[in-house]
Amino acid sequence: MATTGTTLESLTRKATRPKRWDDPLDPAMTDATLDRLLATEPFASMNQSAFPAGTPLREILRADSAVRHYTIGEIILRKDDYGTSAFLVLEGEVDVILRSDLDPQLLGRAPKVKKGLMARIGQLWNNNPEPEGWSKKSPRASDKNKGSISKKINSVYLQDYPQIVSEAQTVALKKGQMFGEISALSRMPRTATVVAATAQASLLEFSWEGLRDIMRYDAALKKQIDTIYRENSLKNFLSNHRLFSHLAEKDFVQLCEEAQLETFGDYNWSGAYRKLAADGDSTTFASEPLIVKEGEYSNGIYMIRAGFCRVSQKYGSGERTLNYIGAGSVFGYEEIAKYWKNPNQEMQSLYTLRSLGYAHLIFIPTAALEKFANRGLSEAEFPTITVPQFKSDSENTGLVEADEAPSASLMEFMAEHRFFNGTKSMVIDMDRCTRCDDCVRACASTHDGNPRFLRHGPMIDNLMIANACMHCVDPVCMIGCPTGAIHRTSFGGEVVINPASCIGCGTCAANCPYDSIRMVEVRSSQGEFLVDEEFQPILKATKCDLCVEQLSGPACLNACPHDALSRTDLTRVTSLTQWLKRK
Amino acid sequence: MAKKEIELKRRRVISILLTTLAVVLAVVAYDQYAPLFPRHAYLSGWVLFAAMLFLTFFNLRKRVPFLRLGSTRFWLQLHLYVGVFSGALFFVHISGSWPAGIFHQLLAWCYIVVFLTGVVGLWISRAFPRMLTVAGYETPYERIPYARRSLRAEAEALVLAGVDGQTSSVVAEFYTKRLGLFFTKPCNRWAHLRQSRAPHAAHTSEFDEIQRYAKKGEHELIEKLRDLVTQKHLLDYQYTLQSTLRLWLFAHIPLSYSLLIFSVLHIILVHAFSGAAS
Repeated sequence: MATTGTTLESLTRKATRPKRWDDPLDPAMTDATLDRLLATEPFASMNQSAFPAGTPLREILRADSAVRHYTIGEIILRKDDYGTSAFLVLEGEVDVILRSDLDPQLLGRAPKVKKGLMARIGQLWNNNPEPEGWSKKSPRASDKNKGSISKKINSVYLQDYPQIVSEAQTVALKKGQMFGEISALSRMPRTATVVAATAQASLLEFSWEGLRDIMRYDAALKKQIDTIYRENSLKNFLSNHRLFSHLAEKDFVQLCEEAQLETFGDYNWSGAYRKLAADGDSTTFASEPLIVKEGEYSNGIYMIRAGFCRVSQKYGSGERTLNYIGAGSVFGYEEIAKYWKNPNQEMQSLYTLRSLGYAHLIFIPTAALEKFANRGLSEAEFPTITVPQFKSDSENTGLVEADEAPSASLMEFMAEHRFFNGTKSMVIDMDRCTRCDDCVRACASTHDGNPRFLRHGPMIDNLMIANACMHCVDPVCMIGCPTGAIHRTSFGGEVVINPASCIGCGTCAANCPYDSIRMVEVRSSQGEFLVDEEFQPILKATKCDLCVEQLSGPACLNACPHDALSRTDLTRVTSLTQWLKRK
Repeated sequence: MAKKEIELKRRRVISILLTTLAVVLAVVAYDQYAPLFPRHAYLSGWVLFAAMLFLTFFNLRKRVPFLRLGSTRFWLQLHLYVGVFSGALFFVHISGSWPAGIFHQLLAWCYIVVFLTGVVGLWISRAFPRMLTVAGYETPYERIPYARRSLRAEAEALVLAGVDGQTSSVVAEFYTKRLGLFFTKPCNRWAHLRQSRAPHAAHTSEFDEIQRYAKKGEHELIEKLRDLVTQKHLLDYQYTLQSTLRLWLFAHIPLSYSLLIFSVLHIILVHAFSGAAS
């Protein structure tokens, strides 16, 4: 060893290991501000001794909150944006805009930050010679996504406010009220646009990790958020649904009171799924919480708010998966509506509904439905679920699927592996793939020399779902990130990791049920592995970011010469079957 | 989607028709007008050189996936159609007769080999993926050596577990004589390329045979070993076809660059001596 000069010291360089509190939401947060916040409600009445010594309330606020100041008309958050923050009004007022027909231009939607021509050409020689190399000057200077989490860059004013929205179309939130917490915690898009309504509005922005930690140790805040959800989010959700959009205000209030909020499964479902998969038991229906059983009396409808459910039907001595349904789907309406038309028909559930992982549902009882639902809808307008059109073949004892329907085995495969979660899943047609790895090379050349996916994964017939980030509807990888480094971009909703705030703890990689996040050892630009004081390597979480910076879109997709690769929305299985049938 | 499928088919038909038309036009034009234009070889030569440059750009395009130059799929389609057209141009350029002189013959051979490796590569690219999928045991190429080592370790552990140190084991003997080398390296490349199952069938017969002489307790071991042998055959099949899918490019691409360099020399020589020729 000594003769060749390759010692541990020569191959490594000492660096400081990033820690939980290293990257606060607001680095300028002072002790004076923290004192002021702790004297303000709801923090003043919180029992600080209920918080563990390792994560006291004061430190949570220091790391995961920031005081923001807005002026009248300034947009705080926008409808349909993804965000991981909640806000508490400290001073002034904000307006929640209920209008859903606002011109997107008015909301200041700007094009994504993309690399310009020179920057793209520059990748030919500017890429770090070592995979995942950090430059000497700043080990985190390679971060190009910082803009997507910077409030200032996305700061936009609503022109001519309040002329464009009348008072009747807004709900004012005053000092002490909170907003944005439901979408931050449930990982759903924002349901409304919120704008500063007074000349000076001061808000406390929480990252969802901070909110989660405070809720964990303060029961009052947890209860308050539950109440807010019922009053605001539920009402907003139901008022936008075609079954109830015709209702008057007082009817809405009554409907919201009669609606029941139900949660099935585990919020951190990926851990349970990984255990089931490891036990080879991920396909058993028994492990999935039963919501509705086929043949039972239909006592209401279930509206899926978040998560996924499996729709199945008895077949032989088992059950066959017909579909999996996610947020926005309504289960059980068809049976009730048909009963309304023909009261002689039995009002029985046609299918079985089970929660796949975690599912948050709104249950509307039949009695409330009869009272409030718009019964004038035609059959085509019914909020129904799509099921494959199986038909019997008299010459064959088996079943024949209709042209556009997915096969039963494909449905089981998708449910077994929970692939219905992916909006941009990397699907490879192995009948066309020449295994040339051009996709892998293209990915590496656009991502610091390190491909962000593995061209390998579960297969069914000629179909492979590769180990690439699927940009899930329910991104469980975002649960537990201590710094919020993994987040959705404000525009496209792609799930990306901000290397500037990633501390390499590996929580996201452990949470991802699809093994799509990889922890990589970071190197200096000279190729030395960066290690901490104990010579442990410094890691960074990496994953597919769908080439958000590239104008040409996903490099893997463009690089495939044989049209064997697609980034497919698996939340609709028909999109997959249609792609497979192209020739 | 159906609309998109129709559009794709329509585009493909149009592309094939246009290429056929270009080939026919090139050949007919040569047949009809070549005697009228003695220096027609200059025209066909320059067009052929441009076509070859364009064909070579396909490989360069793949190295810059971040530039908006159209999808690689589109480039491959162009590569194929222009490649076919270049064949007609080559025929016209050499006036349908084999060139004289070592350098020109080398150049012509170079073109023919590049063209033929392209055709073979196209066939391989279309046929092999389906064969690999149907065979199963999909393994990424880089992981094949690891998978082979794992199979070997598993097989050796099995055999060692069956050796009691007192009685002779036919399984251990069979492994040492017939399977030791088989598990060590890729085998039966040509058989796999010919889609022949003969090597696997031979192993199956041998397993049937040793089953007769094995001790009662060894039967389960033999079945497990038989499974491992089947997996190794599948792994070898994957290795053979996947390596062929890569190797043909090692002939096609370097020869393409050689062809380009020879063509530049050819152009320089032709123009240097064109005065004498005219």
